[in-house]
Amino acid sequence: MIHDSLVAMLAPGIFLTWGILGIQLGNLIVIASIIVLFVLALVVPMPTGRKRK
Amino acid sequence: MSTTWTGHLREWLLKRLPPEKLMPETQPSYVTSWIYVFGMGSLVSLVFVIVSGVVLAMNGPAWYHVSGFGHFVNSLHLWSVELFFLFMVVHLWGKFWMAAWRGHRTLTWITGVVSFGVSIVAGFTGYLVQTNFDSQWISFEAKDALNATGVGAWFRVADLGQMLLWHVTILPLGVIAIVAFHVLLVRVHGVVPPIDADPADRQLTDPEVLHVD
Repeated sequence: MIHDSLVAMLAPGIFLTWGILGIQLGNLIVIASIIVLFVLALVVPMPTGRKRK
Repeated sequence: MSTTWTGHLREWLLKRLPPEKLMPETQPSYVTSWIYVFGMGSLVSLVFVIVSGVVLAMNGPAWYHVSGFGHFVNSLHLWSVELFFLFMVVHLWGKFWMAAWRGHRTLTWITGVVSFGVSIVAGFTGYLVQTNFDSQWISFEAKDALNATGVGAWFRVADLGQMLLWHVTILPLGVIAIVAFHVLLVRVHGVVPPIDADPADRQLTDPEVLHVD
């Protein structure tokens, strides 16, 4: 009997391909997250709390 | 004026990095932007990586492969590394586009680049010491590339013992040392101002007037 965690480990990842371009879904999510985070860091204003010297 | 080398060293260190610069209470107003947060984000992630790594090392693979809490700490180690690299890349992009090497900050930039490189090797050896089919696959793919460069004669990615020891000793020590030096340099030179900051801004010319709006 094969343990469930071993089955999950042996399963192939999800790969997305466009012509010669191919990327694993997890890697694409990480790269997209970095780009989104970078843009948000530039455009979202930082809340300012109490004024201090 | 001191006459001993320890005295000279103390005076030099205090001149370069007085306590008020080492642990400042205020920052310039331009630091109130999210883009300045990611250096500290990387640092906090690194603390989580190290602490979870120490717990994994103390208990060993027979624990973290089998027990529930072991799985949790193992996952904590992985996700701290994911966040470490995620924050470090945003930090890198932010600093690149503000040309953060300006104002005698060349060495700060270089130590950042080196810490990124050493972190990649540390992360890579981490993938090699998972002791599962993934690590076996990754090491056998990587060995051909490394053998082609010649470094494979000494840095043997299929040698679990060697990779484990690199991963838990010299590489983390290297990352910690370079990151610590990087942070000290940031303290010495101060946070880099925006590229369009007015050079006559008193926050740049007189550190005594620093304040956060």
